[in-house]
Amino acid sequence: MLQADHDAPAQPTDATILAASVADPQAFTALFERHFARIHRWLHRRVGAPLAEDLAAETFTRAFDRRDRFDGAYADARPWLFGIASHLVHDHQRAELRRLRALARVRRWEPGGDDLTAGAVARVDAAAAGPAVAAALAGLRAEERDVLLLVAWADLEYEEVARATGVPIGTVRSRLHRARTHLRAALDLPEGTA
Amino acid sequence: MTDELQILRGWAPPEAGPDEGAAADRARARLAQHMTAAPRRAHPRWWLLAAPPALIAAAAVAVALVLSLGSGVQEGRIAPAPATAAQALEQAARSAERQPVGEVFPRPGQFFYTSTRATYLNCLIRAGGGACALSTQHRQAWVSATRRGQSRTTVLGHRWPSPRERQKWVRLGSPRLATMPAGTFALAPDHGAYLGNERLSSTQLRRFDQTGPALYRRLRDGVKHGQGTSRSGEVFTEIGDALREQPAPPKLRAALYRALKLVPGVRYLGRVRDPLGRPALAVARTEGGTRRELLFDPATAAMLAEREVVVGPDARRGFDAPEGTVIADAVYEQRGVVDRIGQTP
Repeated sequence: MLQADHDAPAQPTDATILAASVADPQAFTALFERHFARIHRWLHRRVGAPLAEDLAAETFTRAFDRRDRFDGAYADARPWLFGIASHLVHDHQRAELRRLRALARVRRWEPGGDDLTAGAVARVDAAAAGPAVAAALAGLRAEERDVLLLVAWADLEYEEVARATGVPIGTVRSRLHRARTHLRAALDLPEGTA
Repeated sequence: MTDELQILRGWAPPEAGPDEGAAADRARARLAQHMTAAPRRAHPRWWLLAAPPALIAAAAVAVALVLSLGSGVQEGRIAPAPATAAQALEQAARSAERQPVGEVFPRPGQFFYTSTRATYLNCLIRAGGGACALSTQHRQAWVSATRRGQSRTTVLGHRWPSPRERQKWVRLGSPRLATMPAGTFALAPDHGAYLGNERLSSTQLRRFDQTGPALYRRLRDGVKHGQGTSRSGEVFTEIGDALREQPAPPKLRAALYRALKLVPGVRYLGRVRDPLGRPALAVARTEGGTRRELLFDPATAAMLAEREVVVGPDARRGFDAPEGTVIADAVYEQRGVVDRIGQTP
């Protein structure tokens, strides 16, 4: 962020990069370098390869076209970028559902996952529950799936999910609640507090 | 006990993981190609440029702009004089409807020409920080839906909004200020235009047939959470976007002016002269401590000029400018339909 104390070097915020990129389009590449991997990983989990690569690239070309529409009051562009990516997934919802239904039929599912924060036990549980999770995700309404996966895989806060999806924060909470309830029931887990 | 969110976080399909390096390389190349081919907006939406908090640390200096509000211009073509924003905008809508479509909206093979002089906040980013200047440029553009177009840009100069911004620039090593590239450039065929967040094709634009209230609802409902400082402010901005340098057929232009009538907070400023001395009607909307003014020709409904003026404090703005400071302005010298590059209306 450009700060009042300009003696202390600081990284420019996403908002500053986007503002600069309006007059200097090359500045936009800094935003790409900062966020591409994260967006690509999220899309890869949602729709698999090779669609993920295509949608991740498209997310950034669309963001470039709309760079003068970013509200500079927000420093962090992640919710905005995830919002564009979510919108693109909607356009390919059939492909997403086809893949989830195919995954729901997979019999041999090894523990894996690139989210080490989930913990080893969770990854083993996730492997055991793999097909059921895929089936449960396929059974969610698209808006509920968006909210759930923005929270679980993109690590966005509720307020950030609200910005990404363009709905009030209360709607985010209720969609997340429904999605978690659905997932819990599908996995035969006891009632929680979600 | 593992809960469902933890299980979901650990969920990994039995597929090959993403090849991130190769994917990033291909996406980077695609973006670079897109950035080269993308038609450039003629000038930025400067009020969004001004929005990032703490972007500008000190006061902006006043920018000279000749605009004599309420100067009692004799304008024989206008009668009766509007008394409200709604009347002024309705007058513009009717003028727009009377315009022959061929004068304002190009056929396939023709070009939409614009000539603009604009001053905007131009921020420079380096690893050690940034600095902001006010940059002025002149641009001519010929854009066609079916043919390669051309832009000719001249950078007219830079000013510093404050001594402190200049100091920041010096500390960064006095780097060259980036601008939209000066010179002559080919433009890819541009098949459409923005209407809010929607991208409409030339055919959709030509067939546009909505009323002002319907268009207002369409724009208002299309505003995404987080866009603009308010939903009404964003609609005001989007209407300006559609009027300034994009081709729009008479029905769309009339609907845009009628939609503007419905945006809360739009006020009539009166008859004025624009910086080129052309008689104009002015409307404005104030939000976040600045007033955005739109000037249009009452006879043709062409947007002639616009500017943004500081009228009060706003914590979010991130800089301190005295009331009356003009932080951005643009004059649309000419626009219209022509048959070839180099030709002007």
